[in-house]
Amino acid sequence: MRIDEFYKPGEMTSPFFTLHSEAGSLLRRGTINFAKREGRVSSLPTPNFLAHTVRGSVPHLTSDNLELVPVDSLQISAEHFYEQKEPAGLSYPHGLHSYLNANKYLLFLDTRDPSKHAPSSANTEKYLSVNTHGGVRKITPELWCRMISQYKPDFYAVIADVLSDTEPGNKRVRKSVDRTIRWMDECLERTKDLDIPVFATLVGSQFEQERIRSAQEAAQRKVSGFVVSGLGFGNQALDLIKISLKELPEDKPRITYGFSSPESVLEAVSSGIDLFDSAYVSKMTDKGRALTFEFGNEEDETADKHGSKAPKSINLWDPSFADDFTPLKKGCKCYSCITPHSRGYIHHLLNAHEMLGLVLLMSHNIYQYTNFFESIRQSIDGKTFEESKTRFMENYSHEVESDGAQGHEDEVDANSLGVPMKKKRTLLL
Amino acid sequence: KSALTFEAVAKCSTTKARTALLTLPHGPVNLPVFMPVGTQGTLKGMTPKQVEDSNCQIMLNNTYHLGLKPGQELLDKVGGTHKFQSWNRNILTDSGGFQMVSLLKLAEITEQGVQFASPHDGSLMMLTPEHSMSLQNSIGSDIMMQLDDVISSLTTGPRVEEAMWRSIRWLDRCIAAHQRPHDQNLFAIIQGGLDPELRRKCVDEMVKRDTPGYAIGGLSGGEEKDQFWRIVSLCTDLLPKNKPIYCMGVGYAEDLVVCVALGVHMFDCVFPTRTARFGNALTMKGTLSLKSGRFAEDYEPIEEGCSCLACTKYTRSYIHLLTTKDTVGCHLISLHNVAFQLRLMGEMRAAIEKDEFPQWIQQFFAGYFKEKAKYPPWAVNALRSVGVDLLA
Ligand SMILES: [Zn+2]
Ligand SMILES: [Zn+2]
Repeated sequence: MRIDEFYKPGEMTSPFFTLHSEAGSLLRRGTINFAKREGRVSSLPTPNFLAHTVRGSVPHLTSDNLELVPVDSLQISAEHFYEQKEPAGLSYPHGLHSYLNANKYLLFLDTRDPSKHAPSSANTEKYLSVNTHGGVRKITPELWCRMISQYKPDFYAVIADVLSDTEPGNKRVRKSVDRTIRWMDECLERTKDLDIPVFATLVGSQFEQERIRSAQEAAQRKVSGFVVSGLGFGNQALDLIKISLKELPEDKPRITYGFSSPESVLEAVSSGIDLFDSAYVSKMTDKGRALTFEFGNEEDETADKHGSKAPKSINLWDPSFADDFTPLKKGCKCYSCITPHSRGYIHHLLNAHEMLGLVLLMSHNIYQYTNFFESIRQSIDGKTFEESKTRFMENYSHEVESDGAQGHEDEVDANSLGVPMKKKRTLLL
Repeated sequence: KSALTFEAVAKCSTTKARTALLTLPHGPVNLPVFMPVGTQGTLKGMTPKQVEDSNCQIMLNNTYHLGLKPGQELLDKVGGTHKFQSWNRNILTDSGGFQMVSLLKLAEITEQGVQFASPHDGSLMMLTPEHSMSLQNSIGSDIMMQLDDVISSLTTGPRVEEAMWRSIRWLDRCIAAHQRPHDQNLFAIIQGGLDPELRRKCVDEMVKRDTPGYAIGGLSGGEEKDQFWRIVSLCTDLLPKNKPIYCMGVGYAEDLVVCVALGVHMFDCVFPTRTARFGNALTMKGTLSLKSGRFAEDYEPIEEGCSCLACTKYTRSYIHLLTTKDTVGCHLISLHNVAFQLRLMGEMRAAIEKDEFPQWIQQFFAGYFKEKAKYPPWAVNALRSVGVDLLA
């Protein structure tokens, strides 16, 4: 840690972001420091993730179940709250933490849901157009700032004209950069008295010059950090993001979207990203999969030692788990694994279409994801990150974890309900 | 031949309401009790820890569903449903017969058992009293129900008497087939339709079998409520006072209050958790449909004074935002509805123990229905029969 950054004479509070790694290093360890508030963590070690939420809750987990997982920060998508005429809770006087019963968490508020990349580019000069459950809503800079001042998140990103077309034209992209800068200036002006750290969103789509322009303009503003999205760019995403990152000051944190699978997290960490979304966890849970991979553990038992690559997760829909009465992952300390709820029981819950199956999978998966990030930080501290990353890439299979609920046939043991009356006599129903 | 103890605690000096402590193989149950229904070995999205935290002492599993998934072989392998679902408190299972008759095509009852078309391939199968016992022994429930001859409560004529006698014969077969009487309790089910004479005979015969507890069966099938309560009241008069009495499928608040006043100890119903999925929250002042837009800016808890997670930590407005869209919304209302049912029972037990039950009933009806004109006449009649005049 560089002492001069951590403590500046005459200033009682530490800077928003403290970088612990050497200057110039792409691989970063840092700490984001927040104002101290009763009952809430005030610092967030990086690299880390913002837990993905839907309408302010981690999918399937009520707050008591979420409390059993060592999660520190939540990613809140404003679009989820704007399904009716007025954004939900906008007239609630005690802020979003209390509205969501999320007092112990650091809340990051952005506009769009990073787990989906739905085309909605019908933005105009005056407003951002958002396609919600309740229909298309218009978010103006004015409304956005009203939401920030009512919700009082711990940090937030200003609205931006993010394009979701795959290959927008040069003219449209230039307009998106201009508009994003203008909205940023308007929002910064409107919220300057709130004293909430604000992040700028970088745009520029696939055009190098526009990405550079967007990043440079944002870097000149009084912002605390940056959001740079890789959503919608497929294999080019990391290269495009690197173009933006080059223009940014080192001493401010960077959030990215669309890099939540373990492999892409590791690549993006190597490239200097500090915070991630956890859409991967929500996606794996919905497929009925439990995360089993490990990072940086020499005695990793999940990885096969005999050459063949180990899967990163297991598919609980697979009937072979029906009579497996061991926990999802040996040694895991999550609620599901210590109770223990067995793989066989969770398989049954999925098979019986019972909601508890997803509750148990989500609480395990998000627990494992926090472990993953903890291991990444430890390996950076211990200077073994690159080594562990190489081993991870060698040990695990990197094919898409595609199988899940698809093609599932209900398993029923109809014979245990009684005795067949006459063999082979089948009634036509 | 009994794996329970029953200790009377208090008796209302006006009505027939009683409190008792029932001790089952997996711990104590304070009576009267409401048992939430965890059909497939799980209570609608709640973790066993959450169910335990709500002070639930016993829940219901359905034999038919567990027989189908995960199946008997697997239940034997894992050592029963308590272990399977990590629930260390009590479980009651039904016989499976009722669900077959109501869910399956071609279900038909013969002397041998319930004949039905396999939900798997349509082939003809038979659930016998012996098989029902074997399945419930594999499940390992603390209270198991006999297979009975289920008929609609609207059935009349000789079929009612036939079903009553057959249920008695099947009870004998169940008792003979029961492999674990030392750690599982088999309850008899009183049949006899709406005919008091048949009910009387059935109670006589079944009491001779001296089972650890009794259920009042064959009701809640669309009969007039005025007939329903009369049969319940007749059965509680005739049944022994030192054993638990269970009224199957009853769960609406006003029904629970009336049946407790008539002397019933145990109830179950899918309604509280099922209705939660549609956004309906139960309260002492009636049901709130949280889907309704009028809750969008309502920052009050679902019910003031409720100690559940939904009421202590969340507003109606936020639950309105989630309800019928996210599972979390459903979980929160389920948590509340289960807490509501258990609180209702707890309040009744406390009132009986203080011998203030009649006053409590008056207060409950006033809060729940708001005006006397809206009190259901059958409930007024039923309570009048045990000395509580709601309209006074
Ligand atoms: Zn786990
Ligand atoms: Zn409540």
